[in-house]
Amino acid sequence: MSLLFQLAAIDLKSYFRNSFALFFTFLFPVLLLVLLMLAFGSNNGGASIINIKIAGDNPRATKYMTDMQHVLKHSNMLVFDIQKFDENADNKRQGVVVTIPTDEAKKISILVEKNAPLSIYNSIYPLMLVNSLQEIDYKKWDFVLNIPVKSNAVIGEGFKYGQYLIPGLIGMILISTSLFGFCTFLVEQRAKGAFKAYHLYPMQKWKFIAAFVSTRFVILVVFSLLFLFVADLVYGMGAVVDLLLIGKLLVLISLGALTFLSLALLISARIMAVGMVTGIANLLFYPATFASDLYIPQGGFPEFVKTIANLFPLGPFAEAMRNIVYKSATLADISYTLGLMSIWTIICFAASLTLFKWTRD
Amino acid sequence: MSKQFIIQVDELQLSFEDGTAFNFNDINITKGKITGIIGPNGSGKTTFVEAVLGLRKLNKARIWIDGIPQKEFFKDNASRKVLGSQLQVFAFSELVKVSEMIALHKALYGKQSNRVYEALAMDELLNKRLDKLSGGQKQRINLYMALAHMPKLVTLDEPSAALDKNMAERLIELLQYLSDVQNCSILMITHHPYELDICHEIISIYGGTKTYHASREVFLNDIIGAFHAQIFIGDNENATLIQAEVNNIKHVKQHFMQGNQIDIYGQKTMEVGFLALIKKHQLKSYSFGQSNSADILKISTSFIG
Repeated sequence: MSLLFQLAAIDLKSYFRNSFALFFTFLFPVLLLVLLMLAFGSNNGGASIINIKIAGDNPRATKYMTDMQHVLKHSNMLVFDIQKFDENADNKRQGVVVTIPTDEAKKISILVEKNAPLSIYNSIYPLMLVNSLQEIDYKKWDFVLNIPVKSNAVIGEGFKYGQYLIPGLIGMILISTSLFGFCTFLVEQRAKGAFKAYHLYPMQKWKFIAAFVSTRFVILVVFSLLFLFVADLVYGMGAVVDLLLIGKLLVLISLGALTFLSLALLISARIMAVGMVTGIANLLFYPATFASDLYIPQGGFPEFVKTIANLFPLGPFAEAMRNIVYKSATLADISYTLGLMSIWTIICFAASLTLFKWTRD
Repeated sequence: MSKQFIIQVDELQLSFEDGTAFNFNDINITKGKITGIIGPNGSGKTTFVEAVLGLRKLNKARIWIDGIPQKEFFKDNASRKVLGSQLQVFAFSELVKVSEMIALHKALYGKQSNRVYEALAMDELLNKRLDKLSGGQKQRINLYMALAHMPKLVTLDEPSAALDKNMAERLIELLQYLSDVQNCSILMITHHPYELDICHEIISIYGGTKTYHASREVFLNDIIGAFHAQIFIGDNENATLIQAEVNNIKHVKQHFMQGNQIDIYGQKTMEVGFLALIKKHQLKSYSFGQSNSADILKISTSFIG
């Protein structure tokens, strides 16, 4: 048996014997999905009332409501309270309010009451889905989430929360397993002196790296696809599953896995102390997952944060997956993301191969 | 660069963050011999071996292994196949099974010795996971990984530490076989007399530098003293006087007092003066005999500085 295969086999078997690693790779994301769906994905008892405020005789609103009824016919516990309103009067907002002005030049807005219960967000995403399906020019729309009317914030791009969340969680799985399951593992091994033995074995560094990266790569890709399948089964993502979709997802997830594994490898290339690598992993993980539109809408962040976040491959990865699953995007459509991830992968791997050390010295 | 040596260290300097500096110069390990490295804890034995193995950052180094400059030796896979090392720390992933370690060894070196397999009784460990093994059992795996390919050069760091008596004896027998029959060169850090018994040469290290390097015989006869006398003073009120009079015994190489006991090392001819001292002070408890490996270790960890 070749050395590469033997190393990979040993690592794979060890991984499946590690209950801690199994929990964080396989069970934790599922628990997180269930938790977030309970918090944001359902109404938690009682219907969400969506206030539709229509100014005057408004054909625009009529079309909007027709589409809304069509799109949301399978949604539970959404009640539409349609009222006429005067555009010039002071109208008190309550719950979720969709305001449809008569004037085409004025933006249609979706407003959410301050201190609204979490379950109210369940109604936001169907509304956005309506907007998305109507192919309305987003420049003509406001989505205001829990903030004053003048500050416009885009949240999501027209998905149910579950649909929005699941690709984000796949991104989270890739980065968390890479940083906490791979990066820290490598540093732990170095810190306790295991790599001294590898330095003395007749074995090139790249074989070790290739074996361990390929093991984690297989774990990540298989689990991501499995997670997608389970999530779709339980929460109904609404995608049309065919070979083309699976193929596109496989390309995206594979490249994503390689990107985050190469990043983890680079971080762990020389660090000796487990505490230091855990700190760096946390410093990277939390801001990246919060700002990358994974499970918290990016809309409320300042522009410079969004710009930085979008240069990091995590957010573009999740966005590309949403586009593939829900908008039938082709690989060409997500070429920016694929290119960005390829650049990160190449740079990180090249730097890792140069910098990686078995021991401190 | 001499072909007589498997390891040749002309110069080796390294320093630590706290300012401690180690200098090892002119240390040559003879091919086909078992060389023991002795010295007190913290003297630099492990540091020296790890430095030779390329595991330490060196300030200055002129080192050859098997005739190849050290850096080139560790860059080349084929070179490393002639090396087997058992390090002080057992550091393999705890979730691996012993059978998988053996398979990894096979993939690394392409050959495995049944003799090593049997000597270390690997059969009884095969299906166990490393995290379920005792310290001694882990040490056997460590030793198997170092020895199973019958390497030309072996480095060992306290190899029988944690082994039971039976397994330690089997290991000693195996090392002798590797040296005598396979012409394997063994460099072994040791604190155990039975390990030192099989060493052809001994290097003592103290304070980060070599103090002596000689054959075991020379160590016993010329450096330590071939004979060892002991006086058990007990609560004798003349203890200080007796110790002072030991200085006057002819052919004594060194002596020291530890607790209520005086140890005296020297040539056989010191026996006359020693017995006279015993008679003069009417001492009841004493011994006189040949020095052995335990004495070498005792002296090396205390006074060879």
